[in-house]
Amino acid sequence: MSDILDDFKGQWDAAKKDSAKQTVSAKDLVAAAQQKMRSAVLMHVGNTAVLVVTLVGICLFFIYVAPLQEVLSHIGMALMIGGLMLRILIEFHSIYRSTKIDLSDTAFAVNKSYMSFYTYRKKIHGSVTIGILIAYTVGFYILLPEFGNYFTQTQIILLALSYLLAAAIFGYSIKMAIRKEVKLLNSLMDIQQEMTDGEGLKG
Amino acid sequence: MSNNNVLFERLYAEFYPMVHHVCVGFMKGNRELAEDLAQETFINTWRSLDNFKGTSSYKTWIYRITMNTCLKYIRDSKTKNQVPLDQNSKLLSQDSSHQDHGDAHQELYQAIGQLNEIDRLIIMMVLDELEYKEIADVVGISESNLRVKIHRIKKSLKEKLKNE
Repeated sequence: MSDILDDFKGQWDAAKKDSAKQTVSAKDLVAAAQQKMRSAVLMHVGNTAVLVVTLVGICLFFIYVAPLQEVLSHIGMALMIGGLMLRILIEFHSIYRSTKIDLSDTAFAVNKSYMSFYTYRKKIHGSVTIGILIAYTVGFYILLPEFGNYFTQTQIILLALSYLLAAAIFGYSIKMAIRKEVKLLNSLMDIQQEMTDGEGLKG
Repeated sequence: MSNNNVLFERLYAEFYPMVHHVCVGFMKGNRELAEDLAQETFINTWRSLDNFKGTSSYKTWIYRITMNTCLKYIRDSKTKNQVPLDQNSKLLSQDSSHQDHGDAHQELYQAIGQLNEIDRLIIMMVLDELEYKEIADVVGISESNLRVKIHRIKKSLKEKLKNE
């Protein structure tokens, strides 16, 4: 190695001698890794559990509180339940895809996998979730006329308004998630650009 | 103790200094962050043990995990409210307690730190005397592309140092 790196090489080797010894034992690190894996699983399960509980709650509501009979209401129920079920399936698929990223692969391949994953996430948080939210909202408002058989007018107005509020909060969280994913994607594209600014690549 | 745990202990003992040193260089001399990053690298190593196919040496394999963990840190710090690396090094230079024995090598870390993340990692592998084939295998680019990149990095380093 000639030129400028010769000067750095000496400093690099000297610095290497000063490099720290382990402050954590291998056993503790394994425990930390296991704990981290458990936390990741719990976080994913927690997110999905919220959707599952909502789904179960809605089903119970339609069975015990407001057993709607009209065809239009059945369409509304199908839109709401179907939308939620689709969202749960997508969430499971997303978890599966995230676990498939192998950090011991080449940096180029890992970056590509992350790009593909976050492009997929952006799509989920974007068009897919917005589509599901619209279907869910249409489904909910289709039910309102028959709700008149089970609730007072004031209760129905409150239900409609509280749904609007919940939808607004959910919409905002989608916007934030998309913004985060776009940031990540831009960062990944920058890295990809830095890696590929030469000639031919191997996969 | 499982076979994986035995292997992990061996890899941890053998490669921790190498990983830690790369992390210090990547973190521009910030040893506290580098230690966290080195531990994160070994957590990822433990999680990836079953993926080791034996097509490369353990050294190259761990270098891959180190590089990916470092790049992941940068990505996460850009999206979460973590202190960006550049700001970290500014804070560091104002706080001498963080520098301890890293002081003597600050010139080296500052010089390397002027490069972008990919170039920084590549040049550290060159300094660590990895063969070009191994470095290309860590990054996932062709050897000819790597040679072009290293030439550019050297040129860029020379210009940066001249301007100081």
